[in-house]
Amino acid sequence: MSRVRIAIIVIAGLAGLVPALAGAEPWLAVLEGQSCGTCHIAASGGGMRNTYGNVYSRSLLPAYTIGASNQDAFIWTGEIFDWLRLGANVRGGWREVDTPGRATVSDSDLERASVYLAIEPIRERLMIYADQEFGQGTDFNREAWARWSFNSSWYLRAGRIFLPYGLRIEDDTAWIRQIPGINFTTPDRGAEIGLEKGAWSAQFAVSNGTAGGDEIDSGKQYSLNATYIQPGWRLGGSLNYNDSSFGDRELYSLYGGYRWKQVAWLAEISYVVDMGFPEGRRNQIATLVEANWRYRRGQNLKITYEHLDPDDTINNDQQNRYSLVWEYFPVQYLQLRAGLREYDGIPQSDVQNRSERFVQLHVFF
Amino acid sequence: MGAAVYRYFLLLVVVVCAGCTAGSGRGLDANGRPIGEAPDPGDLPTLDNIQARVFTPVCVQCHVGAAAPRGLRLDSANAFNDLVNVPSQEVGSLLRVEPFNPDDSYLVRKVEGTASVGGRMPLGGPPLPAEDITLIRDWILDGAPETSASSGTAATVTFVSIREGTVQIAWSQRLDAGSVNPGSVTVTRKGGVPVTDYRVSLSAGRPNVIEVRLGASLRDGADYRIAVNETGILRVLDDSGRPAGPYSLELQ
Repeated sequence: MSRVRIAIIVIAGLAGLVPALAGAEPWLAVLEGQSCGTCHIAASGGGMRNTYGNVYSRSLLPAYTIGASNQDAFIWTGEIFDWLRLGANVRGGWREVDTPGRATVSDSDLERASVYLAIEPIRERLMIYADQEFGQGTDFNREAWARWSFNSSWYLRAGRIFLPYGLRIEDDTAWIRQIPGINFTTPDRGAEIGLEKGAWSAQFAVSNGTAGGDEIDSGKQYSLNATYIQPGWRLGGSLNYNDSSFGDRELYSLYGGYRWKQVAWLAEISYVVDMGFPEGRRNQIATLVEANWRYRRGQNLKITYEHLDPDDTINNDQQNRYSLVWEYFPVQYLQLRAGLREYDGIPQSDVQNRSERFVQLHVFF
Repeated sequence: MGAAVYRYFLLLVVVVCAGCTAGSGRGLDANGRPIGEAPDPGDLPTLDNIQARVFTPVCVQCHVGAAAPRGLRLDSANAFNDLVNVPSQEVGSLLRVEPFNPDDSYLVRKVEGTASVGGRMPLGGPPLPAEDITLIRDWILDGAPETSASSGTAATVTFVSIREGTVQIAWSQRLDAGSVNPGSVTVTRKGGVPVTDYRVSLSAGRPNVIEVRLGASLRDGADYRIAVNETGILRVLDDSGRPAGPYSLELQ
């Protein structure tokens, strides 16, 4: 049986169990020495892929490309017309959780199913973009923005956007994304000005600061992110201040990536000062170190270590999380993920010492 | 080269992962907070108990302060106002908590994993234990009252529902079933004319909810008034024997 047939059978079986999500893959950017905007239409990454991103996903990323030997084969680039692009993203899967003292729970879940639409009425100048999630009884909008590009370096976009902050890894439950609260579940409404020039990628955004909720005061959220990108490494930093009647927040992040042969290393430390907790101020520190080893074309082994100090004024409360994930791109636009996660927390908390196993199917184009 | 990369990869992973250890938990409760900071949760379906068992230890990791996803804050100061009778932002046709209706409350769908948008809550964490979900369901069935059932003050009305000739009046505390009768709950027409075409009972499975079923003669569009503990000798009592606070409702 060919690899393609095996892959199709596995995917078909999983499709009934799980759905998928959309996310960025910064380890690929580090491995290729490129910026996020090389593959995504948004300079800060995530969401719809551009023509290069789709061609890369077809020709360079997967273990096997269906139709590669056929010069007349249709190649999906996302471009329907000069002025119209389409894309989609589905992610879902099966997960089993072992929590000490509780029965093992396993469930399948569709994390996300959405369609991307981009209209470019003025080529390379004006773009209107929507990331629309579909489901029973809903048509939830994740992103919707308009972007004006002043030139090849500067742009301004406004609308509902994912804020620029830290490494845009796809796992929203990673502590470096969950604790700052800026991830793919929390778009915000505002405006962003960006610079893509030489080795620099930088963004500054002003938004409501409500994590997708209704605005309830006059305070705003200010986000600044800058990355210096070299072929073999990158270094970045993010600052965020949210002026809110529910308690101000300050976020500080330092992150980087390093490539050694076929291993892409990612690291981030994020410091969060949050005045919104019932007891008042709480300072939290989240860190991540991740190694991605593309040991074979289309296959990646990801090992992640995370550390969380949920309140730096309290001793003995630190937590760790270890992940081992195998990622397989059997054919173009498909990704299978299987992984293990071990939580290591204080002994009296069962939840902080749980284990997880998961399988995901991710369709993207 | 492959073997060298493999060794380098493993070595660095081991070194990094050995860097930090988890906390010993000394001096902390099961939620990692200092012992005594949070009250011990009970098992009655009250908002206070749900707060102590679920919202504070689990949900407040994300749903707090300025960065609370979808503007849903579940700390003790904001949970009631952000949940009860507030439309969901993911599925606008549903309320986050619709009193008396757990099946259509978006909160229940999110923790049970039946919502059509997004992942099951708590996101990335283990599903809530069945008994905690039951606690939330029972609280909503009770009308999702804000006030704790164990307060020392007289029970007050937290929510009223009027559906198909039945008026449900939810109180902040469990009621003494024997005290709920037509003598303690009166219905009058405009001008104070008493009527008898109604039945009064404690709702099945919801010991803090009085149900007043109006007879056909009261569904003619005329004005009438329902009063509890306003006059008379018979009074609705809570399960501690204290009279519930007075309440009246005028319907047209």
